[in-house]
Amino acid sequence: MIDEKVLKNIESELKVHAKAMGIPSGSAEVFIKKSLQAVEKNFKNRKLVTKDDITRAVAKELAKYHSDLAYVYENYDKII
Amino acid sequence: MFASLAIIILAIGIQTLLQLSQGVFAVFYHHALGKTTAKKADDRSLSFILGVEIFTAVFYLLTYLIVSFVITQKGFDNIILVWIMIGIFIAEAVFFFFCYYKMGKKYKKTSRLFVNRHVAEALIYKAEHAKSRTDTIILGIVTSAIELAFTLPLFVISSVEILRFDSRFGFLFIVIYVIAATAPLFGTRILFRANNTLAGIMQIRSSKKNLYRILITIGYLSIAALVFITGVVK
Repeated sequence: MIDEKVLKNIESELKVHAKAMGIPSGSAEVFIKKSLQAVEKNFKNRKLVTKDDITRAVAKELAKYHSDLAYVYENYDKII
Repeated sequence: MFASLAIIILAIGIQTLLQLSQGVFAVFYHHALGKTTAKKADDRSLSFILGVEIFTAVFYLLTYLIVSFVITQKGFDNIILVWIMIGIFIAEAVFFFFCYYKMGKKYKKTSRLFVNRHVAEALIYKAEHAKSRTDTIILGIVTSAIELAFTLPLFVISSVEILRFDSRFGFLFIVIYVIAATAPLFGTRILFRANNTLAGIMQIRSSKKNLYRILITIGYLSIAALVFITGVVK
């Protein structure tokens, strides 16, 4: 299970990325929420979840709605 | 004279292809766009560029001063210094080829650089949280300082070659060098302003990394060869 606080942090991080990429805030909010809900559901019964697991799962869900945002979220810390 | 000019041009070329400051700048600009308005992000980005310019100008002039002192003492044709320079550039070429971009399957799709993970995370954190102009200028300075291992030999060799020219040309070359060092940052800024996103910039960086690796390695080796030809063979 993923901590509520972690999901909130990811949500705000994704909103910053979405705004920077010029994605309309209304639609961004909707698909970010949907993606995070799907990730939360996937990990509901798992006791141990790593940061990498969450990143990969969120990117996978996001890719269904916006591939560029998913790419940035997954590879953001690998730019340098 | 032709060889000196070629060395200066190669040094400028290598300097513009180095990726660390461009990467940090892209993260910084992207985050500024996400947290503020496009106008503010644009304005703040100039502070980062100013930081890089300050560091490059100060370090370049300092190197130029030291090099001109050494040349006055030892002269241009000191064979030991020539061999040291050749050795440094061959070492830089090898170091760059194998270490500048992290190698391995894990890093195939990304453009991870030589910097330690903690340092990279700290740079990204600072790029995300730079709030004032001073923060941004310091970020530019620190980023340039981290890349000094690759830029210092370029400062030294181009200073040596600039000293062979008339002093008026020398000053012009220094100005060109400092401006060229920040040209890629202006390029990234233009890309962002033309509605390109970080995703596009990251994809360009990772798709071109092998090209840059080869070009810069050849650049370092060419400088070593030119120093050898002008300093040893003559």
